[in-house]
Amino acid sequence: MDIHPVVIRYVELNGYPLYLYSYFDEACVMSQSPNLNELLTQQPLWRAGRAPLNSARAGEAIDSGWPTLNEALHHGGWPRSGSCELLHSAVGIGELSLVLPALSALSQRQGIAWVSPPFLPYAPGLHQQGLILEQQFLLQAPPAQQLWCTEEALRSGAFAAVLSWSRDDLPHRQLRRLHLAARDGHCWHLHFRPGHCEQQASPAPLRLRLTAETAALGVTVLKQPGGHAGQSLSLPRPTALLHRQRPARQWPVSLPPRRRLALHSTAGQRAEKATSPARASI
Amino acid sequence: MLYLCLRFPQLGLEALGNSVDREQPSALLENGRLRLCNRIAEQRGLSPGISTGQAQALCPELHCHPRDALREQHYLQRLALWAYRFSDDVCLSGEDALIIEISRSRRLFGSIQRLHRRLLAAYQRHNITVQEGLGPTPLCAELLSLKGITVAALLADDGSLQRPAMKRQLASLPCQVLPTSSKTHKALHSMGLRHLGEVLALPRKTLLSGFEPALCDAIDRLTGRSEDVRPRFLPGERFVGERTLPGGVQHSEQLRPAIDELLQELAIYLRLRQTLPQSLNWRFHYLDGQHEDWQTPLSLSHFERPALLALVMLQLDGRRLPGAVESIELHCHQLTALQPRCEQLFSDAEQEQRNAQQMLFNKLRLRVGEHGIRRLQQREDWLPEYQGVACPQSAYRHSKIAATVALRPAVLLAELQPLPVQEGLPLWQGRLELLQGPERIDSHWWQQRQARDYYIARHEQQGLCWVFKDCLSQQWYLHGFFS
Repeated sequence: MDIHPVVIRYVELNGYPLYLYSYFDEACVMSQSPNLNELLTQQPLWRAGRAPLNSARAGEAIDSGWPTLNEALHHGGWPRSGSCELLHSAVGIGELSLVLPALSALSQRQGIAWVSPPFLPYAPGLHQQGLILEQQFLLQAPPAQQLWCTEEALRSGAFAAVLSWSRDDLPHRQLRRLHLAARDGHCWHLHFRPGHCEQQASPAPLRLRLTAETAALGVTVLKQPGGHAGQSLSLPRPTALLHRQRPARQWPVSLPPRRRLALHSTAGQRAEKATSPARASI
Repeated sequence: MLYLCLRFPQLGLEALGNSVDREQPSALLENGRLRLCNRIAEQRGLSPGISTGQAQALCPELHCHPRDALREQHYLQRLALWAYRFSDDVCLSGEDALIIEISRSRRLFGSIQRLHRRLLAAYQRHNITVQEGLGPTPLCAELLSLKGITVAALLADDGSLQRPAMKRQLASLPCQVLPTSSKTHKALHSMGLRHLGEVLALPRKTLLSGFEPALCDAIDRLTGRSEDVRPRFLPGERFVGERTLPGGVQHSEQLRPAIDELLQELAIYLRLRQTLPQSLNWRFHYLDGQHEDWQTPLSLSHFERPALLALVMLQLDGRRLPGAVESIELHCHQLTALQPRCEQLFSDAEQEQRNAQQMLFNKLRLRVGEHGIRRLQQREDWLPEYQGVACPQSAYRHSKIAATVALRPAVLLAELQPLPVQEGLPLWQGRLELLQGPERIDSHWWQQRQARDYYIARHEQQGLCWVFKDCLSQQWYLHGFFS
């Protein structure tokens, strides 16, 4: 098939003229710039219409346990290594239960570190969700040491996943350090950050915004490797949690309320009766 | 049997370490006289035995060091420890020599020549002066080392000893080298016997009748007629290493080479004894005479020097050196037997991960303390806050507890948060909507009774939380989140 390239932009790369086409013939571009050849082979560049990244890394992805989420992510699940940001403002919206299925699968064989979580991970609750408690390590460091601690845990290669929380904005440099440490240590870094950090550019390849819906957790993919982002999905929360009970005062009771009132009044009458004979005796 | 004797003629000066400058004339003093002087001092006309005043007159720039017998002894033991890698039969001879039986290690090293080369290279690398002797008996090797012979010349191509050459060397030694009393030496001298060869040629009857029995005994041990049993060297129960830093060192980074050398020495010791240390005990001596002790606690499954060095340097980074460090001592006394490592059948990944965890925990312990590493544990209790705890790693025990059927949150608040109430309902960031409950937990009547009604509630941002009403005080509390 003949390709008719359409020049959309003209740039110069190291003095070589380079045309960027909407549909380009690679051989034509490469003959003009040997550096581009290097760039294309070495850098993990995303190229439309090609799926080398997808196919190469698909086997590496961790099954998230949520079929809709697996579908929305181009690699078919959570990344095996590197930083992954989860941005949320409210607590208790199901932010942990989003990652717990994957963590339970990982914890069957490998360790998981929780670095200075804002709340204490509760063993019975996590056990109910299938997490192996023996493999959970809680690393608590004073605020000044938290970043160091996270980086060491990520780089050491001792854990399959490291969960960390940051309350404030972290500088770009620190985020990059964490991501590189996670990549070097072949560790999945789950970084829980406040919702307002969404505006800040981040080196993490996968960023998700978590919002609460009435009976579900809303997930918006802000950025993801291997293709376009912007997917929005809602993952239902367990029905057992949302089961709605009638308040206790509306519970059915065997005795009608009038009878109880009557009991009350009879008790009063009895009291009166009890005192009256005494009076009578007086 | 083939014995190699290594004699260290400069041991007294070398034991003092870097505080002796090799390029300057230096001497060791004992009782006001020179005990030892180095090569440069000898070139200036000094010799052992002359008085200090005389020596100063001959060579005004002479550096004199007092003798430290204990240090020499430790140094010789360190050298013996080094030699112990080449043979299990090592013994100390006198104050400055080692005797090593090398024929049994021949197969391990391929040939005697190769073993000898490696042994010697190790000493040469550390600039240690060595005189060698070789012989079929320990005493023979010991006597030949006094003269200092070339061992390679005495060995045939197949590694066997060339006896005629060895006998010639032995015969040319003076009679005074024999380990007998001075009276015997005088007697030999008065008989006109100057060399060992002449004594060896005497008929046995003359030896027995004309001299002290010690001479006959020495000749028997030399020729191998009687056994020469010597106590073998065994590595000590505890490890002690020391490094001196001439002039003192101010920066912790400058201590790195010295610490690395000490760890290297420790690694050899540990390999020989097949043990692992529980902790490294350091003692820093400062120039002002003060000293400071500190400890590196360890939990290791195997000894890995580079990682350990990084760990010690990490600990040093957090410390301030109060002055210039003159010397470092390393003691290890709590040693545990090395557990044989269990290899995984299919992959080493899990083992590697466990080692990485050990290393990381060692680092964290140094930086944030023992309480920094906790593990989640489930316990048998009625109150939720005691059911799931984060306990320190040392207190962690495996437990098997049946899971509760009732819904439990994923995270718990470290402290109960009291909630205000409006129209009978609790408030937390707005109104709370009670979804299900109550789950009554009534316990601890034997201490302070706790009666709680737990509810799952939804807050205004749609998150689910776990709240309870204390039935005794009628107060609402927030306890956890269904994250």
